[in-house]
Amino acid sequence: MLKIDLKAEDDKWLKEIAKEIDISMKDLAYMSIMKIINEYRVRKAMREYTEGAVSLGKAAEIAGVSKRKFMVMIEDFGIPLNLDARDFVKCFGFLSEMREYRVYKNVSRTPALKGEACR
Amino acid sequence: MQKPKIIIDTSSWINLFRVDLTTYLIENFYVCVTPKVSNEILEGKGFAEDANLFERVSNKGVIQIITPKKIQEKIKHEISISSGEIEIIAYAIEKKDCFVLIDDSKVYQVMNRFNLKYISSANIVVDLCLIEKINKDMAYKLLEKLRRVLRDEVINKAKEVLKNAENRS
Repeated sequence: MLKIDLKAEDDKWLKEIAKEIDISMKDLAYMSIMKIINEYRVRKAMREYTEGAVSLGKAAEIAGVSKRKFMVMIEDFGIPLNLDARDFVKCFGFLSEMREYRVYKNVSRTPALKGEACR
Repeated sequence: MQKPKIIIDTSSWINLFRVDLTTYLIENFYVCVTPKVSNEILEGKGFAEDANLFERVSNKGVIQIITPKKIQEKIKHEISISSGEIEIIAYAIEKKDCFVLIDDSKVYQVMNRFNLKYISSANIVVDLCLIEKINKDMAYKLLEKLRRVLRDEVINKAKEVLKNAENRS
């Protein structure tokens, strides 16, 4: 069990806040700690997702929210989904196998893409 | 031509709904989802219109629910085990007869190792234009809408593909 020694002044403020929002001091302390944990989880999830270290689903799991909610959160922060142009091009290679079009032949590509799925 | 089988992820379903292409998706592909993806989409029921549409078409049997026989150990540590991504990959590994529609390069990395085929929602927009289900102006407009959630480099590349196709026609 976590025990915290508060300074007298902080203890006074905690009591005042608890009284004002009509909850126990214990619940208020718990809520405050959880708020810090949740904020940290979201920050970590966004950081790792932005760095490309984790998938969207994994990031949502780290943040402790649903995938749908995480999508809304990153959109609000202006963070795009982790999909790059190189992968978009590669996807076209897969589609081209199925469809008859071969439009990608003449589109400029990065050297790393040469010889990959697009033909 | 037989409709290609496609397993969709939550992110792509939401993105395609954003550009009003879910109907086109259903008409042009044999659409499947895993139980977890279905749950993820349906979490939006009541406040997200895409979830309501998903429920309606699922109830009509237009979207098939597919379940992988098992989740392979080798993918458990790389992808969230609580999200639909892992089920999608597991199913695609088992069947190998389908495309995966997901907007996530991290998941692509895993799928590359198993030689799985995948596409993104931006590819769907361009594809529908190339098979003349939507015109180019519409495709450009939809890609601009997707710019809100996809990287500029992807949208610009998609437009490059369309422009290239235009020059060739």
